[in-house]
Amino acid sequence: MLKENSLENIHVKLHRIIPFSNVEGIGNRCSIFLQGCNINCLYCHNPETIEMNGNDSKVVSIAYLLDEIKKSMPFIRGITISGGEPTLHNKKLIPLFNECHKLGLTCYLDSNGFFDFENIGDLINVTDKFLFDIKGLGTGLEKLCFDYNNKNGSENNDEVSIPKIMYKNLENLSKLLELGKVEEVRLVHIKGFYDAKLTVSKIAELINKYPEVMFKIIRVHGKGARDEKYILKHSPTIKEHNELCEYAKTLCKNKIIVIN
Amino acid sequence: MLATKEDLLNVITSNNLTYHQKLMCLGNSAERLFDPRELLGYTDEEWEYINNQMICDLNEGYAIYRPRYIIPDYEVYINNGCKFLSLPAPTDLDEALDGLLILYTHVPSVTTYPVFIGHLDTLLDRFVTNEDTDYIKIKRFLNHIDKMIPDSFCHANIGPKETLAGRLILKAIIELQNPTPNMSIKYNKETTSREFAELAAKACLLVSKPSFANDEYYKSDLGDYALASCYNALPLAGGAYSLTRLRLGTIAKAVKSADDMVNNLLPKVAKLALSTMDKRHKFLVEKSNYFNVDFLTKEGFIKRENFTSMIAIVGLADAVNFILNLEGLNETFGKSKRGDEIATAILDKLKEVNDAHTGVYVERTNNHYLLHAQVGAGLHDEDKNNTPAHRVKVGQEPMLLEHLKQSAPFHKYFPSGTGDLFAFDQTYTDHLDAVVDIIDGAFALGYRYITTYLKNTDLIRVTGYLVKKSEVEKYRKGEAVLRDTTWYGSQTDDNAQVFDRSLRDEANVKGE
Repeated sequence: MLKENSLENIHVKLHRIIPFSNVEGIGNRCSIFLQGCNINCLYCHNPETIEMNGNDSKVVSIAYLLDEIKKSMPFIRGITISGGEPTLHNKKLIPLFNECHKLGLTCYLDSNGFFDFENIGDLINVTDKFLFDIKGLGTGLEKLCFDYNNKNGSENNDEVSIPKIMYKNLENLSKLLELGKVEEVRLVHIKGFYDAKLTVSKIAELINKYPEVMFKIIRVHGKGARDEKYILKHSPTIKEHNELCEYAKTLCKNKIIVIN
Repeated sequence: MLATKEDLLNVITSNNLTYHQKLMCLGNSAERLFDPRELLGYTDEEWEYINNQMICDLNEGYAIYRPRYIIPDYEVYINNGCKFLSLPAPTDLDEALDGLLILYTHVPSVTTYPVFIGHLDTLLDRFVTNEDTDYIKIKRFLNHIDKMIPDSFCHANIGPKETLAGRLILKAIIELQNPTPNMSIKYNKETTSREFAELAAKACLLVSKPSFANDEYYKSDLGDYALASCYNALPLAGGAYSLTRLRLGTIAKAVKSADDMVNNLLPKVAKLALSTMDKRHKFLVEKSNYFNVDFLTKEGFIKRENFTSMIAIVGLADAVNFILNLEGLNETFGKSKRGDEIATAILDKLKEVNDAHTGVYVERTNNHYLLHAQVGAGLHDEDKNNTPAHRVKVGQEPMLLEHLKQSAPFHKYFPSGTGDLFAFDQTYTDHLDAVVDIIDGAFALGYRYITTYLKNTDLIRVTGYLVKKSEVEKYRKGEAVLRDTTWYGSQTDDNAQVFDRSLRDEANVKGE
């Protein structure tokens, strides 16, 4: 009884639940989108999930989430927590993952990669796999992902300071790879904010040792973005995108998934 | 329904039937020139309930001279050859393919064409020696079947174990995009490899076949079995004498309440249907001489003792909707808890009536007929009031997850076959793992049979068989078309709008 109570008493902000998803990790999965993100990608196609106190989110208990997950059984092989950035919910997710494991479900996190590895160590321990975003590498990325004041996701020439966490993503990926906890690495290809070739080569260098890890390279689309026109101005052509993907294929033997 | 000489003349002078279709229709009409009250001893009451459309005999005919569905054990040919046809046992792939094609033309059924053409992968795998050249042969063989047997009730089985022949067959059907043969994979999570299952799922999305059959479930009900025609599960080396349908939607229109349906009219009509089946079987076995003459029996391809028969339903959804309305509920089957209760009471009663009836010449299935969820037909105006099987009416379907859970409990009633089908969007072709997960989930919940297809393809599954939408359009314009199943597809779409089944795209799956 005590346990039931404790699940009832842990609360998260839920954006929405998708009972069946075929794109958040291998197999059919129940995807749970939690509210709140620690970055502000201009191309974000779910911008309503960014604010910690989004309007169309509701506070629910872990017990509620578990009940919803059970409704999708036995059609799913696991769950994927997405967001927003799911690692922000850190310790609250641990009891959820433990309960899911008891049900025979695998537990994935769909993360932007910007987190403090030690801080979420306990959560990583109970996470089966990460769907790991590399948003890009190096200077320029702060404009794309860390301009918190740019609420409209539009062009903005203000100076943006570079947070420490911006350099954490590759290091985090490397550590998770060593633990065998990465299913796929994703890169959204957009021009003008980071060095795409450098980014691809750094990712390839890391994952080459782990041939089971998939590398998904997605050509940016404006759908759902706050300023679609602005994003589309920075969209690579299909030819440019394919060239980047071909380049990736020369660097690693991993499966490259090209999304145009 | 009785036929008249005028019906025969209408067939003869038709301007959109091919020669073979005319021959087939003439044969069927001739069987129905005999009044079953005289020839088979139907009572006036039985005849009344056929004529008021509550019982539908699918126009099988009354002067019956062969079983409805024949499930030959083609291993007999592979091992012994065929004496009647002077075919020695095949020694290589060419001989096997050639011999099977010859045999198929000698396997009768209610449609005159074979409804079961073998467990093709296990029959052929022993002869496959060169992947490249044998692929060409297998593909040519399958294409030959499509043109030679212009009837997509013709059904091949593959699985459960992965074989090279099985992979080549799947590759070929994807390339050919033919309606015929219909195909099922006997699927067992434990014995079917994941790769083979995903390849089958891919074919199922792209060319609407093979459908997935729950091998373990059917084996436990039937022992050695095969899937034939639409998705009829029947004993191997046997088959089914007959299939008689209860139009539940039509029966319900005459009742005053759920109780009246379950405890009064339904059992009455079901008993009348069962007794007509007894009489049909007696004529077929005792008078027609089919089992005394045909080489299939003499050489052991089939045994009379392996035959059973199917008592089927259509229109569960319509019956339930009618009764919900009587009860003053503004709900429809598929999204109604009370609706599921009524449906369960109907099927429980039908099972009880059937279990209490001792069938004739069906020792193979413990002297009982087998319940079947029939896929629908367009024989009479009443078929518009009878949705296929226990399916939810098109347009009233719940979201995918709810739909799977709603339908699963009804599969258990139908050991001789049922199935549901779901139209998916294009994204699933890149996520076959997710498709197989859904199938695994459905089988874990008691599903017997499931089909998926992509909504935007020309080749689609109407109810239990495949048609090309482009061929249906040709037929609707009054042109002659190769396959009889194209007529049925056209009628069924007119009645049940099956081309417009709910698309399981992102929004539907997400529950938006």
